[in-house]
Amino acid sequence: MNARSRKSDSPFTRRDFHRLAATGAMSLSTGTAWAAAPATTLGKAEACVMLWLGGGMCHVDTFDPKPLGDPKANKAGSAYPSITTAIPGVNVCQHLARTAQLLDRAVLLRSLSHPLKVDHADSTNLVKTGRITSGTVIYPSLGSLISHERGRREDGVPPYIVMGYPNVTRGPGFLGSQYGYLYLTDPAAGPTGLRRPHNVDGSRQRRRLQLLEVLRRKALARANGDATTEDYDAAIDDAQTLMNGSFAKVFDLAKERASTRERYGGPFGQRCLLARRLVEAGTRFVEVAYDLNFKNGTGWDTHRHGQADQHLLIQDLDQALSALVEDLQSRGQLDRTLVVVATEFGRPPDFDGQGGRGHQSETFSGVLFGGGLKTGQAIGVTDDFGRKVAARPISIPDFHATVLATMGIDPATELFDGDRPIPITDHGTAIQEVFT
Amino acid sequence: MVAFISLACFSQHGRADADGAFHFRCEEQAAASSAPRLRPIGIRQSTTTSGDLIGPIALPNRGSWQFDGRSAIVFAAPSDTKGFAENFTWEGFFLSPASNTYLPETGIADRLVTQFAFDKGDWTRLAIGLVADRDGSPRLCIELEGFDGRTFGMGDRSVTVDRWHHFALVHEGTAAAARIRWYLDYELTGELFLGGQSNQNTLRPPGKAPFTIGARLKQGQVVNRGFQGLIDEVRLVPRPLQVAEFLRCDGEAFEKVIDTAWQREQQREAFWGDRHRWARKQAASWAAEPSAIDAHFRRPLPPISDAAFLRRLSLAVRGRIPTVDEVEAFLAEGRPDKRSQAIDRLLASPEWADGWVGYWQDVLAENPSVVFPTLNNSGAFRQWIYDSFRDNKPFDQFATELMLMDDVGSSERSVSTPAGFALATGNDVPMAMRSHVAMKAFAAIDLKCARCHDSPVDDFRQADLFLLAAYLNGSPLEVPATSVAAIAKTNVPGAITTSLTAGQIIRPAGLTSYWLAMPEQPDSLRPCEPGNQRAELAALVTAPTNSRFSDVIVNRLWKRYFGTGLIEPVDHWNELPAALRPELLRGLSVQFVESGYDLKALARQILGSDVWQGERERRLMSAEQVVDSLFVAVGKDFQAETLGVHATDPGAVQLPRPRRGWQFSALPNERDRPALGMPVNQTIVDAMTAFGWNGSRQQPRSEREATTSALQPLMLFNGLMSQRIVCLSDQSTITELCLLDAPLSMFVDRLFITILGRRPDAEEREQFVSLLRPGYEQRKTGKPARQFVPLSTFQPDWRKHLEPEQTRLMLDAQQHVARGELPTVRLTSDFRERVEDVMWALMNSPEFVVIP
Repeated sequence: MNARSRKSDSPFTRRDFHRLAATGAMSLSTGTAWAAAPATTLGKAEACVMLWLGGGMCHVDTFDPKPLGDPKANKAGSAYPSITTAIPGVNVCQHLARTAQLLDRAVLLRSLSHPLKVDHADSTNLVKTGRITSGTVIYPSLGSLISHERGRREDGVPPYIVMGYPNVTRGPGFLGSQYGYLYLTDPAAGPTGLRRPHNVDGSRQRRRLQLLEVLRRKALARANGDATTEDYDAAIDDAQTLMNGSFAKVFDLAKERASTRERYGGPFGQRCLLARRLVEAGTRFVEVAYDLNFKNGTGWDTHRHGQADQHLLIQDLDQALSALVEDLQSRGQLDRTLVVVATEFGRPPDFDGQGGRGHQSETFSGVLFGGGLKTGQAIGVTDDFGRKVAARPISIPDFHATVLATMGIDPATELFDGDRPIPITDHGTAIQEVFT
Repeated sequence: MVAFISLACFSQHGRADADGAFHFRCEEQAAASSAPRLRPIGIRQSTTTSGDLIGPIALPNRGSWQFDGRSAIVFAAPSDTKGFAENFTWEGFFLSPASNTYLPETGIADRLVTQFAFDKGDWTRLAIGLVADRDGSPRLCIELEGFDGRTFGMGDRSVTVDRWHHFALVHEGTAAAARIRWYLDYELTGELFLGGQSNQNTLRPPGKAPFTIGARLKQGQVVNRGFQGLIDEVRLVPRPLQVAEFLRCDGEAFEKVIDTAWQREQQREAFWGDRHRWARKQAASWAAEPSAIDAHFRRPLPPISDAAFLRRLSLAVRGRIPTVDEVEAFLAEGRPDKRSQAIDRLLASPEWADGWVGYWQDVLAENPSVVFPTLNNSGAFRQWIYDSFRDNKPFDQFATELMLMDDVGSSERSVSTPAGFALATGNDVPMAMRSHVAMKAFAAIDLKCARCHDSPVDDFRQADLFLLAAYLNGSPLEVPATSVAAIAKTNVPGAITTSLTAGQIIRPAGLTSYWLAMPEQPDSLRPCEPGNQRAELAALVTAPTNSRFSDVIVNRLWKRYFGTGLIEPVDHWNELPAALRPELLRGLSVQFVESGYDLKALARQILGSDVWQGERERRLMSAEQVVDSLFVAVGKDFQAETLGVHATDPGAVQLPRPRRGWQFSALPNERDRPALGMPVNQTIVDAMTAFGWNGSRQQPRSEREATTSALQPLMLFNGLMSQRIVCLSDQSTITELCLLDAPLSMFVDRLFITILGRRPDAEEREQFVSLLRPGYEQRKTGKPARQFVPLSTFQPDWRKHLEPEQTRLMLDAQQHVARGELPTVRLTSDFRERVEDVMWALMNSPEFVVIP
């Protein structure tokens, strides 16, 4: 590499560069050249619940039914008969009977697609962050983006909660850990650290805090005004506020009526109920992962034998999802709460050698409920068997743009990774039809 | 063969690791005294580090013990040895030479490991060794001697002579009924059931009996003949191990590995010796100003107390707080040079390496996945970092080896080589990623934007990054379309440009100087492997004449020890900012080169300075420091799970059960499948995450976010890990402290020292003593300690993780972990709870997590 200096050629400092980038005088992407999108109509939703069906929900067996197939005869098609819904002319699988009745409160996205297919983690990362892993930028997840843009709804209530296992696809990326999530895997226990240990009663806790008071006072005195010590001491106060405040009580599902709990159903339903309580308490974004893969032996990743009992998962989803939508509506919160059903890809109408299904990202479905959207419509059309998009394709950046816009966030927003400008979506355009 | 190892007793310095395992490794020095050797023994891979008796396997380990049939190593197990009665594993490596003409056909004469148990004047014995089969070939056998005679089992395969093999014996069961399995090169070669109806012969549990390696002894004399050949890396573990947990080497490729690695090691040693001699000569002529260093180092700052000094030093060097004994001994020491003695002592500790690994994992974006590599995962090369620091490898050699990404004949997934650095899963130009990481690490150049376009602000173009990538690739590289930004047409001057087009081929040629510091390279500076492009690049980066390299590394070390670099940020000097004290950085940098890139020497100089030992702005402990300090304070083992879900797949990443914080990895579970969970690991990873650790290192990072949040105190208040730290179980050294006969005020002093590294002041002592006084005299119940119950025995297994049963087992384990350890019954519960509350308060004080 030979010595060169281009520095002297350029009249711009780093700051100028940013200013230019921010005003759109310069724009760049690693995809196709991007023409400025029309100004997006923005929604007014305040909170978002995303039901995550990890493994790859089969669209032709759920929200995009096609002619019946037969796994035994290896005949392509849906595995279940379809039923009519509250949207005239739109059918869904028969195991979604309750949800079908509520579909006028939903927008079906039937033409989602993305270019990845082989790997669950890669695809999950794409759907959650809206980007393909680049190796140069770590992109934030949808939950982090929304937390970053909209901030907290309530003091003392974390804006972003995950009911599922922690991993990087749910992470804050370049936004930094303050836009990360608080996670839990057991709704009854809540997030780790929030409650005092089971073997510590009130009097022990008081004793502990009394001792700690002495030590805190001494630590501050010994530190002689040291900022780190004072910050940590202040964080101890914040921690106690979180423990003692209303947020810690959200996780007590026993506070709900028995009939409500029953209406939501099994463990996944209880997670959805908790999601409703979290939203009510002021959480901005809740992700609820479906984790009962043992019901059919594969979860939504219905290869081979997993297909046989897939209907149990769909029924689970039907009960929990319909309960959540009804409950939010009866509490007058559906209009300001967006409920998203999402997955990393779909599955082909064809069966594998053992009656299951492989992966398909050429087209798959997602659902949006409530959120103040113009509901009661299905966007996008797939071909006869649901193998490809036939009309109105929706890219993952478009999907992101739509969710962000519903939450009142301009999809054209520029974020910064250090000194590098990053558009909030990979030049996605919000689906205009869903905004009134 | 003349030379042999005389009877050696290791019991004086025998110490089990946290697992209760003993590890015998022949160090080079020991090998030298026992020369001549049968043949050179080279590098061995290990995926586990267990025990510090002699040390974990490090690269290179050329030593091995040579046995001549008349020698043995006796290891008298210390009286506190746990286990080795019912469930245990012995394993190691051996080489049986072709020259050994004596191989018994019955019984075992060539014993690898033997253990005796003295019992009522008689003895029982278990041994694993070699015996000749009908063809005269050696086989791996076990021999068992009980009261009812002898049981003998011969392996089903013969052992190839003049080659290294792995052996293992796994014993499970009781005196009444037991199963013994033994393995040759990781495959079962024999199995015996003892007791029950099929076999009346049982092994009297050997328990605390001495072990011998290399022979059978009777009254201190070798019986008949012992083993003839080489033995090394013997490990005695008080639990039955899975095959995947055995010490690893590379099976069939092992022999080749040994020879080639040995030769390469010899060449490298010669190379680096020459290089450093040359560097010293060069550096002598550079204008360094020691006076500048002195002037800075001798600045009188308000000094810190001895207690604060030792805590700061221990955290800086070993990554953990000092123990009670260390603090008390240091405070009692009266020598005027006790601080510099302490510095030397800690720098000599193997924990020096523990203190560094986490930092370089971040800087080098070490990001292995134990499920499936994806999302820019690298391979695992943490053990190589550890080994390098443990050996205090010259830093230019460290950087060079990293860029060579040499697998030393082993698989890409080996943790003990830098080969895993080559992997960047899901990245369409892995070597562009790796160039970016290496340049940031060693040259403080940030090439991030050059992946897709020329830098709009810095002095490099996209083509520069791809040229580096081609060098690391060692062959021409095609620029993918995804790496070429689509630029919107604009008339704005200075707008972004691309210097490459999609599909363009970049060849590894023409890299003659290193563009931000462009010394002409003297001819004498040949790369360590001529013709290897990676080596050529490494030679440019690490050249002694390239002051950029030594400046960057000195500045990195400075930042670690002081919190702020002489130049900030430490990894992005594209436009060189003025150093705070250029003459200081230059001076240290020259000395660093003169020392042969010896980080320890540099550390010694800085830690010994007045300025380092003075008052300054404080920092929060790192995540690893918090976790390691807490577990050291109470003497507990993590009880971590093995990091892996593919126990039976030798190609998959399987990381050993962590004993230090850096050994954790992310626990990837993108599929949200409970049966892939690791309940104990999760509790520790949760705590580390709250303190800024991130196991998913998709990008290099030189500095962690320094945010204080409520999550941190919440984790220490209520987290499952912190509940374990507080719990006075029979595994806690605090429980033992409670049981000592000591005045109450001394006990309180010790609790303070344990967690805060200092004695309480009068008011604190008064408060805590008055809390603990009631019932202090009656605190002991006289009951025995509980039997140890592990927190979890669940280990995720990919093959089974979708079975309902696995999910149930995991959830059970999770609940068990949530219930926590069982408190001791040796103390009254009322007193125990008060001590636990004191522990809780001490570890939650800001004083614990803030480094003095």
